[in-house]
Amino acid sequence: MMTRKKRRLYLLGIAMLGLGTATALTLSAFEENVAYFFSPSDLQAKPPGDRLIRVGGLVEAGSVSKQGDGITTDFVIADHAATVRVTFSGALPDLFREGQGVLAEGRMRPDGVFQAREILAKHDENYMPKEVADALKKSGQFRPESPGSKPAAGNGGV
Amino acid sequence: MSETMKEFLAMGGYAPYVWGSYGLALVLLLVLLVASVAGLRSRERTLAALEAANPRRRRRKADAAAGGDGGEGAAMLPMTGGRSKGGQNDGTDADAGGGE
Amino acid sequence: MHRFANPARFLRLATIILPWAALLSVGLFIAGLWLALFNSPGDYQQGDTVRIMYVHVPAAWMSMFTYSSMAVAAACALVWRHPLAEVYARAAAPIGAGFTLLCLVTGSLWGEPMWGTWWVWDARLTSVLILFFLYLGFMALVNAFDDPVRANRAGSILLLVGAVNVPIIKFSVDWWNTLHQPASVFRMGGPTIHPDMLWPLLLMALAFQTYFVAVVILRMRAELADAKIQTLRMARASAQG
Repeated sequence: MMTRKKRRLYLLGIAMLGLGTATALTLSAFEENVAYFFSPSDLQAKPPGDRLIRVGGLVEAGSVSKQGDGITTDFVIADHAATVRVTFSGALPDLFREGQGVLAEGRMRPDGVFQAREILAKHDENYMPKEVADALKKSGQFRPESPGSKPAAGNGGV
Repeated sequence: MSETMKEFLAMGGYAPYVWGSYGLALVLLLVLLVASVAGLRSRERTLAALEAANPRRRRRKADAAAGGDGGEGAAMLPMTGGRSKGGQNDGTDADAGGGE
Repeated sequence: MHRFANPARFLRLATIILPWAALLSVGLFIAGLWLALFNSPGDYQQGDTVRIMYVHVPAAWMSMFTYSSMAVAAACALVWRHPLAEVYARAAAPIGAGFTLLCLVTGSLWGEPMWGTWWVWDARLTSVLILFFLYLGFMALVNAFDDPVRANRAGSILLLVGAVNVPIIKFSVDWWNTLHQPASVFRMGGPTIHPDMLWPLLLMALAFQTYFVAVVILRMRAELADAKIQTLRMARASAQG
């Protein structure tokens, strides 16, 4: 009786190990497709051509400007190493702010400006009351979110 | 309605999203709870009816098929029946002996 | 473990636990909701939408906890033939599916105003959607067989195969670029949530957990009664035939 239970346990262990390995291999093979966006450094390392892609990073402080038509916004997406200029016509999400995470979907124009057709805001894992954030900023201890929320250059990024 | 109440209900302009989330949570958890209670009740009624309709003879037969346990709800489950001879059944039998 | 293999013993224990779990759940929901809605600050970036977190995150945790516990039960059923393990998995599945649905919809309601979209196919959102389908698949599968032994065997195997999805959900935000932000509570280096927001979150999570315990006991009792009904009906049929 014991041996049968043990054998079933071993079989189950081996099956789960095999399944886990297969999944890990598959996911790492499709790494590029699983990633939802590229960082500006990724774009520099691997120019995307005029494919439809997503770029994610931080809205560079002081880079946001509205054009005369009132709906077109120009800004710069930055990570710790590279920047991309972006232009977008349309409504921005509530969380779109300078220094905050952002994600742009669109195509690279030949002139090197990223023509976005959709802008999503990306927020970080920090939650705090406004007063606390203000106090932290005042005392200079506020640590802004890391670009793209994780070292996007980490592993070929993507 | 007072101003503070209005402000609270407005949720900083995000009322549909916030109240929608809490409303859905309330409805879903309540529906799941009510359905679970109702399911249990109806099965207990069916079980009581079956047992009342069954004379002792059948009852014993069912118990025999179930591994000889007469305790409440102790019928061996059909899903494990047959496959689980051995350790577990010994335990069940011992317990039944104590219960009878 | 087989001390509780006997359904009669389980039922006695369950009868003791049920009222306590139910009472605790009601109390925790009252305290949690009071903190979540009335007595916690808005977020410095997200304002009052952060209150969606107090429903969304407990639902997400419970969706993963429920599935993990079902997978452990499936292993116990396959290896040790524990008679209550399959009863547990069947009873927990609809609750887990409910939590997952709640997580997905509240996430959508949170994503629209903050991210600017109801849905994206990033690794986190997609893997949670797969979790929802795993629950539905399990429920459909165990009800598709006439023979309960085979139904439960197939269900257990599905649960174990699907278990690889759980670490993928948890670490998707660390392994890949996702729109969803990384973990705020269960992370290296401690929570990144202010205590005034962490408390309502933890209370709501405990409320969900105790709610789960109470409802899963109800459902397990129903499953056990169902099994007994089947046995009685089969006995009657064989007596008449």
